Amino acid sequence: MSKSSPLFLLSLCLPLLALLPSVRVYLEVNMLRHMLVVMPLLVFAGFLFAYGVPRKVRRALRPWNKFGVPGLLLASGLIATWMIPFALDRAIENPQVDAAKTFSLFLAGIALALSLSLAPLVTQLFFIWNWVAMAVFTGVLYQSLPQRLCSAYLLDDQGRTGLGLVVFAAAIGCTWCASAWTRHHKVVATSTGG
Amino acid sequence: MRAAVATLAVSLAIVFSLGWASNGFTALTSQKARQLAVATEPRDVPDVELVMANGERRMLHEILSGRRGSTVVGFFYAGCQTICLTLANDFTQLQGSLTDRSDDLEVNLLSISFAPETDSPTVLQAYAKRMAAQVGIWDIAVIRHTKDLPDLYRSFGLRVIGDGKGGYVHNSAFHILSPEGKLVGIVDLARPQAALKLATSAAML
Repeated sequence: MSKSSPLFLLSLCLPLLALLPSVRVYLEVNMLRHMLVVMPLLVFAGFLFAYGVPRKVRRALRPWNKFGVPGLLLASGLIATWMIPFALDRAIENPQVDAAKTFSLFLAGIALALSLSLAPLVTQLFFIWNWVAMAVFTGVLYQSLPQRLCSAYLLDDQGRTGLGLVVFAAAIGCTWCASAWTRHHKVVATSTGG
Repeated sequence: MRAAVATLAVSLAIVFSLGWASNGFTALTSQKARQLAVATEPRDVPDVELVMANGERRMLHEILSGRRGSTVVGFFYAGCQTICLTLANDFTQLQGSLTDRSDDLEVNLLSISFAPETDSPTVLQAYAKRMAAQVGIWDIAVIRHTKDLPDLYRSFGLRVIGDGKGGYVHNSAFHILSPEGKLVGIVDLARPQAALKLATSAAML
């Protein structure tokens, strides 16, 4: 993908759009939309953006990102940060914190895209499995806790988000399995000369 | 080598970011963070005008300073069918323990409604009767001016949101106030005895 491609520009528009005051309120009005639509889209936008990063820059970053481990660590740490209710509450209350959230999730997406291709399957499995397990656990917790975790959101919204989180995590897990399967078969095919 | 440096730098950044998000690894929710903050540094609460169940108008600080000990404050609205029932239940229990006590350390109870549009003194009086609240031990009041609400919410860390059915959903807790009008502690709902203990020790200071 070249730098001027529409997808590249679109990926930049998304985080900027998410920061407009009125759009922000709309996007964060309920927990499900905030956590399962807006946040994944921001990561996804960063992911798309990474494809527009010039090959030169990618090559220069490679020695710093051996097996993609530092990048995957960064992505998982940033994503985990915004899954903490206290952080989410502050992002809703304070536009500056929200800007930090938007930027860091976008950055997580870039790091993810630049690192997944460098990481061996075992490394990928480690990070993906960790995230999926955490998200499923969090999702079940959201559904079963009698009290609200985010003071900005309602309890039934929290329950729905919990269910959504479990489904979303399962989908991510399955997607990764499918991609790992194809990648493994490609590797086997090339190594056997077929 | 460069990868090791990058991993180290990223790890530090993650520790920083998770530490920020969890109030220095001490709290996952804003409610908990607020409790910790108030416990280490009591904060002033605004002196708002209240209407008591008997229709009398009084200032919050005047009520607090007129009492011997500390005051346990809970926020509610009379039409609430959820969290306020728990709060009312706990307050009834507290009132029971307070009337039984032989020591003269005084702890008082004050329920404040944040819904002046619906909770008139008549409504409050009916509520007080339903809860068997005894004037002088457990007072019931409503905020007089809606314009005072944002300031009040901010200082007590309250969150009140419409539930889409004409009611409200809100967080609730026991707020321990000193006679000087300072918020000295916040205790989770359903732990009335812990609230009483904290209020008693605050009264001894």
